[in-house]
This record gives sequence, C-alpha cells and structure tokens, in this order.
Amino acid sequence: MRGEEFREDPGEGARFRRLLAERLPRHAAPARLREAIVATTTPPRRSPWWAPALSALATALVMALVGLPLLPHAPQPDSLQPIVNAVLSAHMQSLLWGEPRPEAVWVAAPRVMEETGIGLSWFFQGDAEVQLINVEPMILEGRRALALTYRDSEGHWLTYLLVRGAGVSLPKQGRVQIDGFRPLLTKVDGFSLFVWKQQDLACFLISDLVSEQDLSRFKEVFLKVRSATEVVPNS
Amino acid sequence: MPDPEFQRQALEHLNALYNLAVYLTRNGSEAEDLVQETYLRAFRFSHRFQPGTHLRAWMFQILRNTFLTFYRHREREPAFLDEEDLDTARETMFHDAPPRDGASVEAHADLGRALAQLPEEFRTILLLAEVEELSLEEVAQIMGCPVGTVKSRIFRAKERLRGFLSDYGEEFRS
Repeated sequence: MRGEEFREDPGEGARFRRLLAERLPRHAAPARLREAIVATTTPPRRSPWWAPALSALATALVMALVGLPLLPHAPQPDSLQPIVNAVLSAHMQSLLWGEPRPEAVWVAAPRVMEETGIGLSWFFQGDAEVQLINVEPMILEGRRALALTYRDSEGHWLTYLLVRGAGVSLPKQGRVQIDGFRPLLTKVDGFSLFVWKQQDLACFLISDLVSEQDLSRFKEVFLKVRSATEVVPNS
Repeated sequence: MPDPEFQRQALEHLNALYNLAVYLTRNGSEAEDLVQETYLRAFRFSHRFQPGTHLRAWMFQILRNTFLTFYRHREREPAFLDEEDLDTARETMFHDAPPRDGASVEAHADLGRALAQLPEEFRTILLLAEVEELSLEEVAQIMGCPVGTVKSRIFRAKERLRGFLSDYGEEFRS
C-alpha cells in the first residue's frame, strides 16, 4: 500500500497527539537505574600498593578483637536465592509461553552465543529420550544468560540456563554425587533444580520431574547435559 | 570507556528510553534491565556513532534491537499492564496531568491497556512518532523499514486504538 493512502486530516493528527500527550502515562526512570548505568562506566579507583595489605591487617585485627568463635553463628546472606527466583520465573515463562522450534535451534545457537557472550564449543543436542527444542538469549538478574530448552519423551520440559558472573556460592549441604559431579539438588516451588558451576558460569537445570522415579530420570538428564557442555574459555 | 561528553548526552535520553522500555516489556524491572543493557551496548559501540546524527534515534534503535534479541518471545504473552504498574505510572508522569477525577484515572488505564494490546511493530512506531515526536525518517531507520511502511503502521495503529477505545469519548473519534 502506498503512503498516500494513509494521510489524515492534520487537525485529527494534532488531536491524537495531544490526547497521547495528556492521557498516556509516561514512565520516568528510577534514580537507581541512572546510578547503575553510570557505575558501569566508572573505572575502579586505584588504591596504593600497600592498601590491600593494610586492609587485610585491619580486618584480621578486628576479627580477633570482636571474637572469631562467634562468627560461625552469624547468619550468611543467601547469594543464590535471587538468581534461583529468576531461573524459576524463566522456566515458568518457557512452560507457559514457550514455542518449540527444534528446527531453528542450529541456526539460532551461534547468534544466541554471540548475543550472550557465552560460547559453548559443545552442548547436549538431545537423543532418543530428550529433544532439544529451543535456544534463547535471556537476561537474568541483570546478567546475560543462555537458555536451552529440552523436552523429554513424556512431555516434561527442562530448562538449562547458563549465566556468566552470577557471583553465587554453592552451599555444601544438598549436594548429590552423580558420576564424577557434585551439583546442588534442591526443590523450588514444586520444581526440581540442579545448580552447579562450570568455569565462571553458574549453571541451572530445572524441571517438574519431582517424584522419586522422575528424579532418577532427571539425574540422567543432568549427567547428559553436564557431560556434554564444553565452555569456550573467556568467550 | 566512552567519552564523558558522549556519556552525558546519552544519559539525557534516559527517561525517554525507559518509557519506551516499559511499554515494550510491560514490566518495570525488565525495563530497567533492558535500558541498562542498551546503555552498555551504546557505550561499548560509541565509536560507531556518527557525530552530527541524532543520538536519541540511535539510542532508540539499540534499545529496540536489544528488546528483539532478549525479550521478543514475550510478545506471545497476553498484553496487559497490571494495576500496580498503572499506579506507578500515574505517579511518575512528567506531562502536565489532567485533573485526577475518577474518569481521568480510568482514561489513563484504558489508553495504557489499549496501547499494550497493539503488536510490537505498531506500538513502537506509534510511541516513537507520536509521543517521542521523532521524524518519519528516523522512525523508519530505527524500525528498519521504509517510510511508507511507517506511515501505514501509524495509520493502522491509530485505527486499532480507536477500535479498542470506541466507547471512550468524543475526542478520539475521527
């Protein structure tokens, strides 16, 4: 269609623009967003060469004075919880709105790796029991993530997420030994979740395989996914 | 590290970018992530910006491309803005607001919801052209389509909004 067909009365156009200006809510950026953006461009201040040593000494002194034996009882902040919530949310969205596109995975994968900065020289491509149905870039907790979605022969969806620099520390409790690996296995809102680290990536595998029988299958999928993943260093 | 002057100029458009991001993602925290990622990319590729061209349009282009990369799957979700978002939106309007009687508040909600129901291609073009007042050529560049397509989408977007709001009031009728 040609542009001429879409001319409108200038008065009508002005009325429409005025209506939008007056009635459409405008959203102002929160102050913390500006601060976060500026922070990404501010180089860290260089400390004098002796600063780390002095800082360590002072910290040790304070620790000794305040009472080292009490420290094990101090509550530890859970660095894992926010990113786990984001993983759960991403999996839920995938379950609700995800569109299987197995035919597009091989075309999309290189672009997704480039977009996320997470390069994989190899990953689990599916087999007779589990099919790879999608690959997508995501942002989790402000960090780029690569999401691979699988579907097993019974129709369960599994989301495998790799996040760079998530800064999570994994607790020792809740680890399970699977072949040569010791990932954390936990339950979140009715879903089973594996969490582990590979190089500088935090990795998550989540699904609704929760019953005892399903869990053993979930562990098999974990092993396939974990064994096949090869990360390109510093990609 | 971007030139401080470039950084300052880019940050002048933060509110406009965030506003578009909210209408694209329909979610405040995702809008923040989207805008932050947009600035990260803009700063990283600031050497590619041609001085003398429109920085605002360039930033909008990066924001839309980033949205398509990371959030496009969201377009399959049903469109809505929840009441909390709308309440926040009312508080943060920086246009001179009309008196906040019941009808006016309802009108804000209706227009915001109606806009959210438009397909992304229509919504973005309408916001860029009619709210941000970019030229048709700039909108065409951002959207990667001919000016004629921009005109037709604006026309159709208005038609659809009229359809959504057909019982809304005299001033929105042709």
